[in-house]
Amino acid sequence: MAKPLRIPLDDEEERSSFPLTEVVTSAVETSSASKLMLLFKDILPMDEDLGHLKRIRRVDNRLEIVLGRANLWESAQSSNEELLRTFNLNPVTVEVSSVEPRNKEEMEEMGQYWPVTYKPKRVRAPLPSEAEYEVMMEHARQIHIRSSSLEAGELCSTVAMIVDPKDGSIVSEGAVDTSDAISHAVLGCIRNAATVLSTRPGALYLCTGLDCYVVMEPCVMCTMALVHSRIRRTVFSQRNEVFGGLLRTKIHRERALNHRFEAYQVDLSCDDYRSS
Amino acid sequence: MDMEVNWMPVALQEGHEAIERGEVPIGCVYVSSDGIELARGSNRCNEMRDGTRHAELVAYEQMVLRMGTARVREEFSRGVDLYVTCEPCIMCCAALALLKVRHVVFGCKNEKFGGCGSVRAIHESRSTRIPGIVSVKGGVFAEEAIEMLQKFYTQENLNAPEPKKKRQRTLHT
Ligand SMILES: [Zn+2]
Ligand SMILES: [Zn+2]
Repeated sequence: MAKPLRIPLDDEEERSSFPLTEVVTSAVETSSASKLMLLFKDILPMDEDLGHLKRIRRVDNRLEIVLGRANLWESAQSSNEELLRTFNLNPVTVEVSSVEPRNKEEMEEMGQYWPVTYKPKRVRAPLPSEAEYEVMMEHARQIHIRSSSLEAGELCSTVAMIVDPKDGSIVSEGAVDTSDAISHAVLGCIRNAATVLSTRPGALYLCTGLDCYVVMEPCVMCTMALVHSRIRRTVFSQRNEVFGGLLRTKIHRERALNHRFEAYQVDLSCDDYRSS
Repeated sequence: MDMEVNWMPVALQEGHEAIERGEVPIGCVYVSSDGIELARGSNRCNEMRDGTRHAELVAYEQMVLRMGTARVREEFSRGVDLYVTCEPCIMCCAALALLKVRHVVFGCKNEKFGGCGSVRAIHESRSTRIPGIVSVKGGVFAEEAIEMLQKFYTQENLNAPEPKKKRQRTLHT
């Protein structure tokens, strides 16, 4: 049995090198370093994309400061000429890592260009056990069978099922209504889950701790609906080539959002459940 | 411009009604190509215990219930505009693209979930198989929309001096 494949997070993907970008730097006198740092916070703040770079580095006994992105420096300089004149800057364009380090090794490698800070990410959910994988495959087969009577979907999964992983019970199901452009299976399944869960005493907060099974990778709308619903995990088998919310767009892993969930792609192609 | 002055206040009024129901105040109205109101609605996440019951989807569902899918499809093929007090979230923005809404006009930005540029730019996703939104415009009656949201959050803080239990908390989705 092929193990379900966890959709890698951005920072789990293999990377042998990192992209570089150009910034303008200058040697500065120790006495004016802090003044310059304050000034540049105003006139050329390190935008979020450069947030991993240290603003100042020490080379032997000299200090050097990042003035800003190469393409922004010119205009910042001309509009602050008066202010800058007193500092005797000597702008030099250098290459630095354009991304933050994923580990200490990368931090050191990137530091050879310009020092960066490394912030370890919060601990990830552990990989499921063999037994959990078995259960996951079982539910994936179940939803696959449910979809077999329907015409294949193009934009989203035709069927969906929300499962409570604690006891394997099905909380709700949903199916696409092709007469309407947005009556997708996942959205319907969430609606049904809300109805069911609201009648239970000590109701859950939305779909917290529950898993969603679909045949096709949910579309962007449904993926975000699952984020809003605080789903724990989504399992699918077929890639959504047109409007997928997981593989390419990775909305389930968007750091700006208040919830993120795990996603797994299972391979049912070598499964012989049909013939058995 | 006239259309904005006509319709955004309707969306705002819907939002104010949501406050009365203890919902995050976001309201919207769908308008046909002849300038006729098709449906209006506001957030119902708390009431339905469903974090996906955003104004845009609530109003759309009302429209389908009242007019039937066939007539709704017909209206959308002729061009439907949406006026909403806050930037549609990623989910709603994708829904509006699937529905091929013609013009989306929104009030304030949605920094937490926005799908029209704030978190993602879903409205820019173009595919031959996704109809897509024709145009998006933000910042229309934005101050009023922000004021409304602030009113809600202040009121909520006044009403809840003690930290709420998790399952009683308001859905801010
Ligand atoms: Zn969908
Ligand atoms: Zn929304």
